Amino acid sequence: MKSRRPFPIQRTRWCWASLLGACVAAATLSAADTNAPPATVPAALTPEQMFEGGTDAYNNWIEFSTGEFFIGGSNAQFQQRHRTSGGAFGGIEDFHYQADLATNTTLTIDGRALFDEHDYKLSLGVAREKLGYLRFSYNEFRTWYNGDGGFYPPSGMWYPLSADALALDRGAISFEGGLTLENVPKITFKYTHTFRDGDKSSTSWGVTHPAIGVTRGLSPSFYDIDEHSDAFQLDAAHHIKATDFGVGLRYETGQLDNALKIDQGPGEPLEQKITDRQGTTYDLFNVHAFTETWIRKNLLFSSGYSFSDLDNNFSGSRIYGSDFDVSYVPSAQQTGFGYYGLTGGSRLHEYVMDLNLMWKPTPHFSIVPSLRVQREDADANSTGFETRGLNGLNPQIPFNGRSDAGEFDLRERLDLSYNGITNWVFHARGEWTEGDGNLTENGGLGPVSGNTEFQPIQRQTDDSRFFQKYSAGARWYPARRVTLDAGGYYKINEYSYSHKFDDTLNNSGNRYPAYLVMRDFETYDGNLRLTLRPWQNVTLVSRYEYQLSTIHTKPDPISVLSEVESSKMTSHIVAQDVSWSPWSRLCLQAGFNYVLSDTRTPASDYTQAILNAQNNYWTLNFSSGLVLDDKTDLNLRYFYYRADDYSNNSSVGVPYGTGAEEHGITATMMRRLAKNLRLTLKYGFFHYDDETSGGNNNYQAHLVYSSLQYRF
Amino acid sequence: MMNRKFRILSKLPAEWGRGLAVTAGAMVLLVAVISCRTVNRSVVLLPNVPGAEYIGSKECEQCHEEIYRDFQTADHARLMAEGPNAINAGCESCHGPASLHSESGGEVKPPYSFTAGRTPPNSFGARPAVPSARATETVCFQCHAQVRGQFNLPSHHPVPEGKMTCTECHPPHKGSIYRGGGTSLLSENQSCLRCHSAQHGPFVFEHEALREGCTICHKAHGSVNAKLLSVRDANLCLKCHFQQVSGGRILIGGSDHTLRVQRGTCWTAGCHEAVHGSRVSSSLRF
Repeated sequence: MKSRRPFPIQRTRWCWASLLGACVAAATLSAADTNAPPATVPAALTPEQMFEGGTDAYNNWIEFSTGEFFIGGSNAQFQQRHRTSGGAFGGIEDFHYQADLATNTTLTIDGRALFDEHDYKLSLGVAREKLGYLRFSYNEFRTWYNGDGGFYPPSGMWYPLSADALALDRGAISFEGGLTLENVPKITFKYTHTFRDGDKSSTSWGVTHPAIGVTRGLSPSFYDIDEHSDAFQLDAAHHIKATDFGVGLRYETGQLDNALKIDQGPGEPLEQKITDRQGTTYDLFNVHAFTETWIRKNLLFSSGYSFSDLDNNFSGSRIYGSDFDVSYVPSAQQTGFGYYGLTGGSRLHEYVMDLNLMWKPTPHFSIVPSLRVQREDADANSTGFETRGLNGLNPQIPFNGRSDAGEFDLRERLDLSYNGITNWVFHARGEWTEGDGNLTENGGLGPVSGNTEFQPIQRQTDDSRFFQKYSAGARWYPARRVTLDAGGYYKINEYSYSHKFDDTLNNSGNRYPAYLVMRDFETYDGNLRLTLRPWQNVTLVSRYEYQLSTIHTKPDPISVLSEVESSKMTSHIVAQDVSWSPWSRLCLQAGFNYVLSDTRTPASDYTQAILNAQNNYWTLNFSSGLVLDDKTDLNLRYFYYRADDYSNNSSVGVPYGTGAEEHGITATMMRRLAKNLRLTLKYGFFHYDDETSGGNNNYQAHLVYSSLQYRF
Repeated sequence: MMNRKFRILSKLPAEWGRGLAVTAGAMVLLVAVISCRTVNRSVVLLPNVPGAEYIGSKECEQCHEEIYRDFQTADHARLMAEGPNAINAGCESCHGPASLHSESGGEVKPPYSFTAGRTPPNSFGARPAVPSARATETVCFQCHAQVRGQFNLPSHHPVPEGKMTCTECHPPHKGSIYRGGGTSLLSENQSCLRCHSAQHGPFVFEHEALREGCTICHKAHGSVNAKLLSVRDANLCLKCHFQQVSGGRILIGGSDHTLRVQRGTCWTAGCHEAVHGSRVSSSLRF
């Protein structure tokens, strides 16, 4: 069981309140000391002067910041929720420099380096008008995941991964150059190296036994990620008379070495650590071209073409052991199915073309017919050794799998827009997709003795698709300060399957994969937005959306089963914003979001192990800005989040519903110490209760932060 | 069952009530004190800027001819109507009133210039992530308020943290507001696969749900569930895979899953982990 550090919140709350109060008092006194009423009414400041806080504006700046979070409770949950290291941090929060190196030549530098947040950014650019540019960019940031498993209320068992959060770094380095001479083709080249490295949580939890005779998937699992890629892109574009056209090449090569790691039965006699490693190396080549021609001022024709060739090579294994990343040892496999020595690959050829025409027969009416054609051909294969340990009694058996697929889609779209009635805009759109394809699959895991759970398969399926989507909307400006939007759409995606061959009989106990003959996705959506500015200093934005989706499926008639509505999803989405500036020195903003979202399947009619899924939540945001004096601003913000979707069905299943409540409040004071020096002080308090984890992910945190910006 | 009801006020300790009262009193006192003072500055509540007026998108065409021309093809062009009441709809819907910008010949940037050099716009909430001074999402949220709510949820793409921008997936100035999908060259899924290459495939055994798009299982902006999942439990799969109940047993593909679903989600513990596609198992075991 994970232990959490107690936090002396009761003792420190008044200390923080006192500190905040002292800051406010100091700001007020400071204002009293440094300002005197002007003798005359001042001239209106330009926006730049307004933003910069004085009559001198500077284009460049560097901002240093430092701060620390003081966390009581779950560090990992705080780190995940607020995407921060959760401790002390500091460095250069923002840097910007721009200068003219010569006539029409500009240098730009931007950066950021916050240590212990693993948040770095540097970009350099030199541009000369009518000649070209050079750019370099590097950025890296970290994302945190708590990595915890589940909670079993009857026994109070909680399955954390560790006290600290998992961390995953993502970044990119790029060089780019462009030649932008007049009257000759513009040529650009870009090289980009991207990477992802670290660990992140997974929801594929492992099996545990939180009580005698009870089996639940609650054990934490995580991904060990190591990915990098290099991309080279060359583009050329030119403009002749009314036509822009261009062609580009892209080559990308990458390597992915990722593993899903599951701790099965932690703390139990038969604890197993599973490493499911999947490696991929790939080469992607793409060539693309486009044209855009303004035939007349009211007639635009554009087209595009793209061909891609993706070539993947696979490696992988699923190995059980006393630790992660061990080699395959038959006696260590226990009862789990796995494999090792996977080799194989896949290839995808994709051809895409689109044609678009925009015609405005009158200044107020536009018609845009467009067309997209796509063909994809794919094939894939894999071989390896399947394992089922049984303490080494079963040998490893070779297996292989292969598939090939082809798809052809034709999509047509028609957009209409009309604004010929004063203060009105109308638009409508129809979209139709017709497609067909084929899929052949053979083999896969299954030869191991004693495996009755899955077998190699053979199937051949032809499919056809017909998608329709119709949307319409109107916008009305009945007055300068009133806007009304109404819109909606209807969508139906129909799939039908013809199974030419299937070795799993569709009236047997194993009917997949070639089982369904029809699947329809249908959605109705309607939304309404009202924007009101009843007074010059008040803005109200109200929005409501209703969405109803259903999925219908129909099995092969040999199963003697009929079509069913396999799910029904309903959403009510409400948003309300208010902005009010009751005084020239005070602004208040509030935003409210309320969502009722429900996914129903027939399963909950027969078992309480699966409840109707609720994704309801509401959030509240509040912000106030107060001008204390000519040099000082005070900003107070509040945030509230609540999801009340937790139901404890742990006696028959795993309760997944989200039950959480969060408060956050910050007070920020910004003062211009000199015309080029700004000081920011911030205090924040954050409180989070988590019902789904049985309170194990609760936290309270305080933030103290300051920054100093120097402008030059 | 645990107590499901969180009563906000009743849950707050009594001292919080005293604290709130003291804070409210202090604020009133503070406002009273500073209101006696005269200052040269007023609060800036973007996009409104004192002295700046809406002038209509036609004025923007004079200098930004190409952008204005291409904007006719943009989904956001539907904002623009003829008539006096709609003068602020169009370019200034997102960039703010442009009179000072126009009169100064471009020297004065419009309120939302999206270039470096501005203080952070007023934004909502009290998340500790420091909003970038160059953030564009605050403009988008003025109309798309429901999206701001989605980005405030526990699982979200890192837009509020400034690591992504709305415009990476939603180009505002030209063509469809969705970078992929519709009749554009880029397919809807490729918008996601640019960053999530491990899910690209092709796999030996595909999960045909991916043909319907990533959004059949994932929310694009934010979710109360981990991994942006639209549903956290087995209903995510049963949406498409529920067909039969026989003798009180839940049969999926003819196979009895009544006890299996008690263990957790379908993709738990090696049952059907390979949700994006498998290299070894047609039933997407792993």
